[in-house]
Amino acid sequence: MKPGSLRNRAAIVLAVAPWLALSASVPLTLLKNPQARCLDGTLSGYYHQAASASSSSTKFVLFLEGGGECATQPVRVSQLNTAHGS
Amino acid sequence: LNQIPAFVCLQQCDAALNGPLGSSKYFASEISMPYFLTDDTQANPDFSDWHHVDVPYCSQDLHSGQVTVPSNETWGLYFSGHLVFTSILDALDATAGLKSATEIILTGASAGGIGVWLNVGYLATRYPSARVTAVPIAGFYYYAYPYQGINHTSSTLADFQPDAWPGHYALWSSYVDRNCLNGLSTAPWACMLANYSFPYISTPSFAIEAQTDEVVLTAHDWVPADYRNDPPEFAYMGEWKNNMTIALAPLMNPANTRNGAFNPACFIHTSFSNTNPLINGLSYLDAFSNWYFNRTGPSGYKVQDTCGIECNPTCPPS
Repeated sequence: MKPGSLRNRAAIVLAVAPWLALSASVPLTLLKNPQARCLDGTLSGYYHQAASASSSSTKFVLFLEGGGECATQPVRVSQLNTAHGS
Repeated sequence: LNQIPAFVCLQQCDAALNGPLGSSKYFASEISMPYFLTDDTQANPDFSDWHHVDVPYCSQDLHSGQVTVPSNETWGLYFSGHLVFTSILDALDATAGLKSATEIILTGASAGGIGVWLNVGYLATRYPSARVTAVPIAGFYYYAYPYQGINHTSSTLADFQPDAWPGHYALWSSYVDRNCLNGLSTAPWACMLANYSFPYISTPSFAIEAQTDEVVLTAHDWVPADYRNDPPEFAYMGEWKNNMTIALAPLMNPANTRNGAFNPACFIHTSFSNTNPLINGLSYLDAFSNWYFNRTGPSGYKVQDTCGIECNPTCPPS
């Protein structure tokens, strides 16, 4: 990702939710399963922050992000590169 | 991360393909965790030391899709959200000990909140020895019956009217709750929406939902935000709120300890934080934690404003 967008994101987070500044950054892990694809065919991924206390090592919170839905034919679908992977 | 981005417009699919909502090419290399997945112990005293897993949304299918081979019918696109979800579980089984989990909370916001209702039954069946819980944020939907009066707008997100759902269900090859599928086998697409699937979902759940959902009302239900206090729009919002109240009544029933709800009189979508909105001094997280850890009676975890429309004084700006 572009360094600038991370800075912008951090600035927004600090502006609206200052307590989040204390949170660690969690890295992306890309998936290998060929069935786990994004809309364009690139392999999807997830962000995992391991439990920080042994008493919680078997406890998980999973969060599904949102952002609308695609249910009408894209105008520019012919330009889509459907090659597998990214 | 939790808001529908501003660039979403009529060409949602095009927009998605050029960003992280449709392609991992644009995923952030690292993120801060949302809601009660933050590791900040002050903001998140009960869950800060748990495993936290954020599932990006790049399938545009409400995390429901099972497409493995794109076709002309899918415009060459993959709608594989359910398969992404199960693949992440596979990866966490192998690397993080999810297989031996004792507690799993599945939460999500907006399309992710809908995805919680769709996938939590699968999760509970897959991990029978774990305590599995659903916490959908802005994910309790019903069929859209749009506002058709003066100044009405049009859908800027997908058509959610009843006639549109068989098509969405087919396009995405959607996975839905198995109990719901058995119960509503002649109209399985109804299982995409919590208003119809809820009676079939056996997993304990805590719903976080505005009484007037800003995005559902403006992007699916044709309400012009700037005119929403004019009489016809205001009357429509009142009906919408009544429908949501009826829909959440089973969760609000004090005799039912299997469910809880946080339902403020605000015009917001996913803007829930520790500081606002509050109901009876409780944040969404206070109320959820009261329920999850059995700290209070129903008055501490079944919280719903009764003041009217947009009348909670602690609503965040919409």
